[in-house]
Amino acid sequence: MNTTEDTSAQIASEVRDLQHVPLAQMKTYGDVELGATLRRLMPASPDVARVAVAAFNSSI
Amino acid sequence: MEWGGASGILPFRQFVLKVHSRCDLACDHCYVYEHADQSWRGRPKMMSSDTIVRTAERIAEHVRRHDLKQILVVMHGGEPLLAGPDVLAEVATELRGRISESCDLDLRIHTNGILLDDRFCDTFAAQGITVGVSLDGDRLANDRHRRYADGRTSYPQAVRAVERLRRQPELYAGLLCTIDVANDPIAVYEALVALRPPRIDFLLPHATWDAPPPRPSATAYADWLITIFDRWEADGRPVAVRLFDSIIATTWGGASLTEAIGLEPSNLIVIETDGSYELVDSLKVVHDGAPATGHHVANESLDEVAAHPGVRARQGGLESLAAACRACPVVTSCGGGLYTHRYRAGSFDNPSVFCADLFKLIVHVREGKTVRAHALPYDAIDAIAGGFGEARDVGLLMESQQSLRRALIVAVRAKAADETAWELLTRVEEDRPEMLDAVLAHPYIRVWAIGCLEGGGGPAHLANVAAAAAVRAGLDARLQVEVVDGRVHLPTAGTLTGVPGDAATLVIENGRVRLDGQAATWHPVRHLTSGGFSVLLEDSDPYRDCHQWRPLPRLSDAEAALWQESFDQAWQLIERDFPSYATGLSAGLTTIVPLTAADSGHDVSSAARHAFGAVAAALPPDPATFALLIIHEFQHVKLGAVLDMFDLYDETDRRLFHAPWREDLRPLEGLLQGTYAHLAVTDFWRTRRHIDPEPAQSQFAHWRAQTAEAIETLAESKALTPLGERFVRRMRDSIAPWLDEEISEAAGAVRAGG
Repeated sequence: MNTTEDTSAQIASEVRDLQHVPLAQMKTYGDVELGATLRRLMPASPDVARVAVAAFNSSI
Repeated sequence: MEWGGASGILPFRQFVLKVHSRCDLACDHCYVYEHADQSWRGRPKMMSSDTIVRTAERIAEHVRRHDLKQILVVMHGGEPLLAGPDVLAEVATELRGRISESCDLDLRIHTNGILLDDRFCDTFAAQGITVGVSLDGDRLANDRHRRYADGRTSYPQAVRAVERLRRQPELYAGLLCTIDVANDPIAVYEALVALRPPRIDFLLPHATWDAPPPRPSATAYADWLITIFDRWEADGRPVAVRLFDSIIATTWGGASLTEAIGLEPSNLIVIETDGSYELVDSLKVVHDGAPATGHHVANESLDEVAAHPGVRARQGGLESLAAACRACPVVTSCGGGLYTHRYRAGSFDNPSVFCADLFKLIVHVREGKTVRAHALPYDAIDAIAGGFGEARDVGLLMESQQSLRRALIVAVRAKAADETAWELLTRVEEDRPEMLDAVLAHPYIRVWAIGCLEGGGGPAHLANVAAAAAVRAGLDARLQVEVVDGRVHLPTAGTLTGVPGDAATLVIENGRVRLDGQAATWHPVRHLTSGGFSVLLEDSDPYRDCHQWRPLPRLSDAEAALWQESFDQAWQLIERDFPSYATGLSAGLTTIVPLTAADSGHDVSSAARHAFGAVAAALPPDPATFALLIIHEFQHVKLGAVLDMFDLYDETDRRLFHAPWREDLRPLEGLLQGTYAHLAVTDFWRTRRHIDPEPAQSQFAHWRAQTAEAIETLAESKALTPLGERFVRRMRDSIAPWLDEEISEAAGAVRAGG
């Protein structure tokens, strides 16, 4: 297989950069970004909600 | 997503049961009664016991056939409370009695709340049913549509229902608000947030190109939602909002939380009061009979319904969208919008009638409203994969680790009994953020936090973390802290010993630490130093026991002096002979944990995946061995951090592989970790043979052959991701020239002899 390797670019992780997000505002970023980060550590954690399919629109 | 069955169907996981087809309100925007489909007129008012049983049997059969581990059942209407608590209890009982305990049944009801009383709430509590309530905002907004048939307001009754749910928060699922752009968005938002729902969903009114929504301006719906979004952001996102969270999630490549947007396939089916299977409810606005499948619980299984073309039409993802949608830059978030909203003149092959609104809203949310992701330049990955990594490269790994620890701390906070520790943490961050960073960088905070989140421990240690940060920041504080084995450990600060019980009140004043009303001895942390380099000598943290080998208890001063002497000599050796490793180590090695020596006399050392920055070892016999153990274990630390960021192999691949240095077969991660560590071990002996030829020559010959063999096993595994393949190629690039280096005949003979 021929593979072209890019030595100048970078590859982004699912880990969000929370270093400069004040803890007091971390809730601001909600479960979505935190969930994406925590999934890297605990893919099967019940604290990490995973929705693989379209969720019913007319109900909470 | 699992596609199963002989016909390759996608099993249903969401079931909407129309338990009652009539309503006690006459909302003029209701899609059930006020739009094209009028099938409700010919249906029984209520689901009969026979239909309830047949429905439960069908769902249970489907769960068994596809071994489903979790399903959602929503009791819906009309107004489902009109069925009465006994019928709703019957539905729950029939479902729970038939569905295997191995399947988690998430049972909900969606109501206008008018009839909600204690009897219903008692039933819901007993049956584990959570409740979502329709409410369109403040009284003015709600009264615009949600009225009784005689025109009376329903607002007081709906709010009373929500207040009742707030007294039983375990039942309170959230609020659904149908958007009318004539309403004041801020008044709507404030009224909903004031009711403290766990979640709000804003629903676009159901419309098609043939029956478009009221639209006072080109992007009226986007503008209305953006007003709320900006306020929601400014308020610090006080409540989950499903639509906004879905846009953010899909922006990052995650899944949408609602079928209103996103590319996820639909796995939802509706079962009407007469037992008819119907497609998604919102299709009622398209034309009369649009949701019908012609199937019935008495005649067809859910597998047969899942093969229906109308079901499959909503499972096609990107490929099933209109050409304009497929080319759209926000399609991964939008997904073409709700299927129903695409309808025009007999076809769904169109963008949504809300296309302009969705585009504007998604672009607005994406612009500067989301957190950037950590990234690694490819040259950093290449440097690390080659076995090394400069200070900058390891520093990038450390930065991502810091984000992981911050995320963990936030997650643990949700489990804490009170906010004292959290408030102290935020106070430290405001005053001395560098001190908070220094404490959070401690390797064993992640070990504790993961254990806490996985149910292996409590959140009480959060107070110790906060206290440690306060001590280092010079802030006064008073809080209850965790006591483990008679010790209060404040990570990176020190330990109080001689403390009875499980908890104690800690007082921090003027940088000094004491317990309230109890005597205890304070032992500040100690460091191992060499020149300008320093690491923590961690012999007290109760969460350090994660290294397979037992950690030594707190060292005496004499023992600590021995470690200091050994470390100093080892580090000098690393800096002199292994500068390619010293730079990465100096950036990322923060902690040394003394372990108990092995009875066999073998060297003992360890790195733990969740303890980035720490190397654990029994006191090595000489500086060279100590240097080797540090270099070896830090390879695991680096690779673990890379794996925290990226997938290098298919985690679902359960095959085992031969590792030349072990008798048992290893999973791919084990082989990768071992190979990467032995790459550095090979290099260590390669260098050492010029200083201390034997056993270095033999060791070099031995490890280069085994490592090279393992690299080829990895390369041929077909389990690596493209990035993993690149990583392994870089490992091969490093070892390839070493294979050509000459070794003595004796060393080669040792290798040949195994």
